Amino acid sequence: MFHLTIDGKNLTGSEGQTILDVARAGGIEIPTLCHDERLKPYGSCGICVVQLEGSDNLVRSCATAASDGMVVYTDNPRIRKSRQMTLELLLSDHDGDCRPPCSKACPAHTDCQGYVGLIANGKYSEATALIKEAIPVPLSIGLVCPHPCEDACRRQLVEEPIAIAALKSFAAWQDMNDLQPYQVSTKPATGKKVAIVGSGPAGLTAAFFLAKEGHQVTVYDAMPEFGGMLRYGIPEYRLPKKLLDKEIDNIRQLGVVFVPNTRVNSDISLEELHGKYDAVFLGIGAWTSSRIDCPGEDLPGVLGGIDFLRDVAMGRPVEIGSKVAIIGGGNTAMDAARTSVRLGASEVMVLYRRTRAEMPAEDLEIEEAMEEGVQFHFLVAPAEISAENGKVNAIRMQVMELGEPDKSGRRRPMPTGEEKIIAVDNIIAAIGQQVNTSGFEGLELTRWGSLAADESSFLTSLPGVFAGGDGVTGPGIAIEAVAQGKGAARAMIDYLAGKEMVYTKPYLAERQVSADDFAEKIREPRAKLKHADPVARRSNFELVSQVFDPDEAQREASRCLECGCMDYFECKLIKYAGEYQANPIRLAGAKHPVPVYGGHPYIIQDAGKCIFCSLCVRICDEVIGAASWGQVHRGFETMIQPELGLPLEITDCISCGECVNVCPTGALTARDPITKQVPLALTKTDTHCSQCSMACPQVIESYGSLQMRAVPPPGGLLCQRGRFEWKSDEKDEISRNALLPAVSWEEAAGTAVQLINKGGKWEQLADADVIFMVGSFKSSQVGAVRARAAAAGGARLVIISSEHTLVDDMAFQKISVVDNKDMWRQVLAAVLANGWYSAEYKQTHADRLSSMIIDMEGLTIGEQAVQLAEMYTRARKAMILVDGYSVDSETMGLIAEVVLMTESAESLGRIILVSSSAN
Amino acid sequence: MKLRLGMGSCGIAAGALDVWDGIKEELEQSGLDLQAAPTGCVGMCHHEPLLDVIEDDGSVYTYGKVNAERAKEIIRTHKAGKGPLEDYLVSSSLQPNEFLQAQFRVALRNCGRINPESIDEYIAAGGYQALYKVLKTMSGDDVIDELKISGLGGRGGAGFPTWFKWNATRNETGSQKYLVCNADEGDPGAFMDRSLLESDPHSVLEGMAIAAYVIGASTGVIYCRAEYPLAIKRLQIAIAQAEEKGYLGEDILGSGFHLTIRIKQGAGAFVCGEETALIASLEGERGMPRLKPPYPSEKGYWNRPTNINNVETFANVPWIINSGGAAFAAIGTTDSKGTKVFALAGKIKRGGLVEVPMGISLRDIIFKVGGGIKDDRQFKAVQLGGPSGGCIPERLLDTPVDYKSIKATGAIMGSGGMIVVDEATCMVDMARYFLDFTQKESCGKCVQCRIGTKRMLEVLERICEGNGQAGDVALLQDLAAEIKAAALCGLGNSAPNPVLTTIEYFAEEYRAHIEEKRCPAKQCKHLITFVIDPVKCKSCGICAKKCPVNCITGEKKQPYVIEQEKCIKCGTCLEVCPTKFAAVSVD
Repeated sequence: MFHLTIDGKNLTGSEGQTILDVARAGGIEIPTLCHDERLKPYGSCGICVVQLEGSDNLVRSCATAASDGMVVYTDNPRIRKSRQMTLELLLSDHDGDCRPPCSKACPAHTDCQGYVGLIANGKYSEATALIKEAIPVPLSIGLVCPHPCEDACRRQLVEEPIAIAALKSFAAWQDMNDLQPYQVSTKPATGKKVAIVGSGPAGLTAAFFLAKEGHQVTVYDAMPEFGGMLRYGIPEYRLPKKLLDKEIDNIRQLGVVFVPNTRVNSDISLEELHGKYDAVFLGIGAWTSSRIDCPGEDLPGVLGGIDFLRDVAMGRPVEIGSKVAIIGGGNTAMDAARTSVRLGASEVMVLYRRTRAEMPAEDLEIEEAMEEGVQFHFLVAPAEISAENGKVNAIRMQVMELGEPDKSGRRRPMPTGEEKIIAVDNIIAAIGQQVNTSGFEGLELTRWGSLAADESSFLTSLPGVFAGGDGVTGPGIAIEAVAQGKGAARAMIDYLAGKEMVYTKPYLAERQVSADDFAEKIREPRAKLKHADPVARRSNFELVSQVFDPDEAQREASRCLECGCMDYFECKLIKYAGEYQANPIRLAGAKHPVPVYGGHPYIIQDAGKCIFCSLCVRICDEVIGAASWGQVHRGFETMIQPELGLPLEITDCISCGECVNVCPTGALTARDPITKQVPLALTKTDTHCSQCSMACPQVIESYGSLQMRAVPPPGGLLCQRGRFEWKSDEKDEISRNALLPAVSWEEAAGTAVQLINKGGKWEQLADADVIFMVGSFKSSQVGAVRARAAAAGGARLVIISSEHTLVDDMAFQKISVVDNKDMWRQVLAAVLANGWYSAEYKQTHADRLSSMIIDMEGLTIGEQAVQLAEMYTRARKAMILVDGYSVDSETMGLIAEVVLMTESAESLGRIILVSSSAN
Repeated sequence: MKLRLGMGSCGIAAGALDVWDGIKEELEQSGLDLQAAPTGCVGMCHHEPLLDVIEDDGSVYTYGKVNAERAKEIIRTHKAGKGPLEDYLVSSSLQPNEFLQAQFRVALRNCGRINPESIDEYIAAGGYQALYKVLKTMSGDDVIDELKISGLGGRGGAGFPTWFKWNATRNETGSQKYLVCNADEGDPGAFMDRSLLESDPHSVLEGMAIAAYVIGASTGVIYCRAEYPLAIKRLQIAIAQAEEKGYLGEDILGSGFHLTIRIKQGAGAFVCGEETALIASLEGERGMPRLKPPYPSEKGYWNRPTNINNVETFANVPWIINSGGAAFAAIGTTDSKGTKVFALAGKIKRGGLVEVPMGISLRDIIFKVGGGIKDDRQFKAVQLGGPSGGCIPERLLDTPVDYKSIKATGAIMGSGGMIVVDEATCMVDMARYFLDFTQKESCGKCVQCRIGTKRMLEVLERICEGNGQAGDVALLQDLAAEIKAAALCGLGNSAPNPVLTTIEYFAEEYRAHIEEKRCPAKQCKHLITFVIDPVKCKSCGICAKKCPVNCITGEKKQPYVIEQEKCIKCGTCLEVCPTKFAAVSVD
């Protein structure tokens, strides 16, 4: 025992401990990527460097022995710089996708791969819960979103992107119609009050996340009903308002108060809100239609696109003629056109100054508009609107052609000089919207006339007043407003907690892929949503596209290519990269070559993500004894491969998954027994494996009701069956169907295990000087691994099996017998013949003894049997490990007899039987 | 009269086998009864094949660049009493070559003088007397005291006091200890160990036997790269002879001490010269360094106390025992005692193996021993310590060769590689070359070395290709600092040295590459163009004929022109253009 100081803390160490050991025991966390307590120090990653007082150099704490009087620093600028550089070097060579492209493309970074994966596994409520970590109104967004996620989806390199948006609506729809729809839990009330101006997607989202945090939220809206543009800008046939209302209700249930018909300016002032509330969020939207700037614009019969949609949504009388022309090529133009069709216009045309290819509207919207009979005129720009009898009767159009690309990258329309006149009854100008900032005169504006707010803190020029959504960015898509609302809520939560508001974008690795990478993928076309008949659609406002049924949804979700790293939520590399703000940009360069192979049923190697910590190689060699992984090549080309370049499945791999468990990144991941693998932040539940009588400690990792993975607890081990072949449902059933007063599964299993493992048999192994291992332990490899550890600790291991075992290399002696029963008969006979039985036995079992002696007479006793009998009787403490899968009960009896005869009834506890039925 | 033919790898490469046949033929035909024997390398590799004629009066005449015919002529001349034959004479005992004059030979004392395959010649030269003395008259502590007095440091590079290592292993308890000789010489351009093992294997064995006796080891292993077949062959012969004579094996010289020595052939991984990686390799594992501590003296080969020394270190030991530690300490400087063997290579007139007293200046080695720069060009720098070392510029040429002074320049003493470069060498490219070597030889274990050196290499490559960016030098320095501080072993720690020293001493060359996209030494292919001066060109067409990619065109009486897009910048045109025209130039 000695004393040392780590980070100013006085700690005690003992001989043989490293600095890392002492620090950990003292509650000081030193980061490391290559250390495991079960293995010899290795020191490859260099993340665990620390500095010793009086030395300029850094040392690896995992490999430096702690000593008396040492003064150690585990965190200072020098150390942080070194760790940061090391992490940057690793990241510069890291080929993978931390997060999937869909999620990264989503402005709100919705975990698309996550919820698609949950849907594939049939877990709709969990999918909804996951979506609600980003979007409080998933059904509405699912229905209206132009889904940038799908544009980024790599499945289109195979055939078509996953129908991510439709899957979102599906999950939310299922959940909404569930008996117990998902509801987020809120934190205890903070007593802080927040006002939100505007109940559009930005305001709703901010309200949701602030309420979740326990803040008291009041939402003011100028309109009679809530939802902002989702309600007043999106027609009923795309988003039925009763569904929107349900989702808003859900937010209301969090305690959010909604106040309608209250406009800042006329009904309440910003000053008042600012004074009454601890913080204010402005999500005021962009509600003013942009002007087309041509003569005749102010004539009756010329309508603003967004004004037109709002009036229809409010049920105001909107009179349109039979010929309606919409100017513009965006989604609002499509909405206006299709609404006009439904209002009875017989001839609806869209006039757009570029071509179809440049139209900003979503393809599906354009197609559906065409199906509904909307006509499109391209390369025309309004020149003058003319009237007859004070009412619009025609529009004169300039014919355009495309010139050089402009700033947006689209080719700029140029007048050709030619003109066209089109007869119309109404003109709807849907060329853009602007922010109405009246009432917010005290705030700074952008040069486009929108509210000015900081990009990351969302703060306006007035402290405590935040803003986001269209009111800041100008008109955008709903999910962008959601993202703004969420970002602002996060900033406001920090603001209300008095925390500093600093946001840096964390580094995420990204893989370059092309269609060639998916050439082997089987083509599976995208599921198509059922659509209402176009003719019927023309005369009603019913929802056009339906929602998937569960079969369709699961099939569609199963198409997901699983781009995002399965290890994201556990990856130590990305965790440390975040902590040390590592960004490898300036170190960008080549990446190490990657061996290509696959086919192991449970273990997937993605070598591009390998950091060469060699934990897999070492655990498999030093602890398991299979040595299935090896290191090959030198320099930058160094890589980890299954031994001798064989496919992993034909090495000595026992599929214990320990390599996956120790891998600090996603270089090795598991194929767990669920329908679709999906990276999620999981909850751990301690239990015990029920596959055999070893009842090894097991941790079930789950997401909601989806039990995804069984892993050993830290330092523990599971065999193939415990790791990969467990059945999640069984565990559920036991606790649910119990007739007796319910106990948790963990409690039940724990009690059972205590009973099975009475006397701590496995712990006794470490104390034995001789261990007989009877049978191959092929079905219970953990038994063999335990024997390895005991043998490494000095016990003499005698293996009695005709088969190769995992621990042959550690055997003091290997006796290859075909007939185990015969061998143990001989051993028993040897004990009898040599009188090696105990006096106690002779006394208590005299008859049995004599009958056995008669029985055994004439039996030839081999040399090996005598040797075994002698070794057993002479041992200080012998343990017998019996593989119940390969040793029959008669042999078992003989073994028990030997033990009983030479020692006592208590010593039967020294037999460890591993079988499927021992418990 | 006796004959000695240099038959180290250098001699053989220069044609010594033919000469040997010639000598045999001459002796057979003339019926002369002359003793002719092979010997190792005397160090004058630039004069190989070397033939010594030893007259009966003991005078030695050394002939250089000998071929079979010349050998015959030399034999006849001497036999006729008309020797020496001045034309080919490069050195004689009366008038030693300048190359040999400034040297002081301890480790190389027998090299090129005795037949390496004859234990008798070794014994005749005083061999195994030291072992006899140790076993009969000295205790282990006595030997350690003697070594301490001598000040001998490890000749593998670090110069760590040999007595200390021996003592540490000696003081470890445990019945099984090991002795290892590190003959895994891997630096490009270095051949000290090879030459020593080929020329005088017994001196290494004798040194090992003394060490094994002191530390208490009964097993010795020589880890020698498989690329040294001749060294291995001669070692095998030497071991067999020593066992036969009782200098190795059971109960050596009746002392009760026994030692067996075996050879382990290494597969040629540079990192296996690092002692812990060497041990891993000996144990059959992948050659990767292990963490220190524990040091090999505590837990080495198979976790047993192990002492590892370099070939040259062992070769010094018998001399020290025979002559006394004080005699060794009298050579050299206060801090660095004795001598050091260097493999002199590169753009130097007299390349070869030299052994000089510590403290001699680099200038003396290069200009006195080595005779200066080839073709009388301008000296630019000398790279010491191979890829782990650094380059030292002209202005530091008076630096004395001792561990401290060399280290102060940013280079290292190393195991003895000394590469001289002239003005036509691009220092950025040279740094790139060495880093390319270390990067490829990295074992891949630690991040700093595996990825760090790769990133440095990439930066150097882009600088040489004319794509260097502002900030590249700072980036190189940042990476170098991190690698030096955090790499796991000596290979990684020292890998940035060539880059750091070139940045320090040749910053201007880096600047020219990065900012002006210009290679001052006109070596970096991407930054140079070959042009034919139309006025000077005499249309001989030789350049066009020799151009490997046929990118030079022209016709009679018309100047030839190089098609730049096709040109691979090999420089052949420049080389072949007759000097009298000198029409090709490089920009």
